[in-house]
Amino acid sequence: MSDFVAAAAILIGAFFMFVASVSLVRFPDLYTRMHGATKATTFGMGGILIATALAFGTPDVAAQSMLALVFLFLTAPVSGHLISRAAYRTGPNLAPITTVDDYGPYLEAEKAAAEKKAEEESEGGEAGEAPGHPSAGPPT
Amino acid sequence: MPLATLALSISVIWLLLKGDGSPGNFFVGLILAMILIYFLRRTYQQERSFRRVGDVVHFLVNFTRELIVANIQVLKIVLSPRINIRPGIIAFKTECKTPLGITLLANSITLTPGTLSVDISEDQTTIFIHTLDIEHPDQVRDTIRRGLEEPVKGAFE
Repeated sequence: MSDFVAAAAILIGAFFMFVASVSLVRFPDLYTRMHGATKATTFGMGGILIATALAFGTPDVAAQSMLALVFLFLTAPVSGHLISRAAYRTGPNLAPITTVDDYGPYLEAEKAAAEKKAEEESEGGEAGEAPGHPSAGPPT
Repeated sequence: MPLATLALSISVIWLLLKGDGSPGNFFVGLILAMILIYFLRRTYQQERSFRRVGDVVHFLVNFTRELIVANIQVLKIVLSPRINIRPGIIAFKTECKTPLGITLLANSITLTPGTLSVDISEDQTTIFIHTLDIEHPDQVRDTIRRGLEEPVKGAFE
């Protein structure tokens, strides 16, 4: 009986892995592909690990597969998060069909604030050496 | 969680990973746990790890449900003959305050297919979420708030 359940779990897992690969081909940009790559994979691995636990049926294998699953669920989002963050910061390359982007304005504001801070610091350091620099704010 | 409990749980995880419950192996785990804790002591914060077991179960049940529902949604999109999506990055104001809560929320958002947390703002109030198909931004925010944020807040903050 548990063999059938295990077989079903492997099939479900493999199917989700397959869908993840198809999504890599069909989606338009890195971010949408990440959806497939980080998640369907997690789900697929979940199915396969559950199947492993069931098929072997011994407590130590079950414990190991469940732990592998827990660590997979803890670490997969971190890499996904870092990849998409790095991708956006090195050039957004969003697909043209993208509808909303709240992140771009935030990044620009952050950059502007950092530049302003750096400018203030350098101005404070060499206040006497910038004679032609109007301190009354940027020209409009 | 006091450091002793942390060290013990790390050694138990070590035992489970090795699949060998002999006392010698347990001590190996304990020594490894101490080394780990020594190197990570700066990042470790004393904070209440969770409120009640019931709330954690509530979170896990909610999370699993979101996971399955969303996986099937993405499955439909990927296998549909024409991919018809409206992706985008939305800002999500989170009410989670503690680092643990924010981390868990961001991780569960990423694990739920269709949403991917891209970044967290400097002041840790806003999570930027890439969403696969946005019909209406507020609707997406609502789903996340009800399905993930509230359970996380209830269980870990």
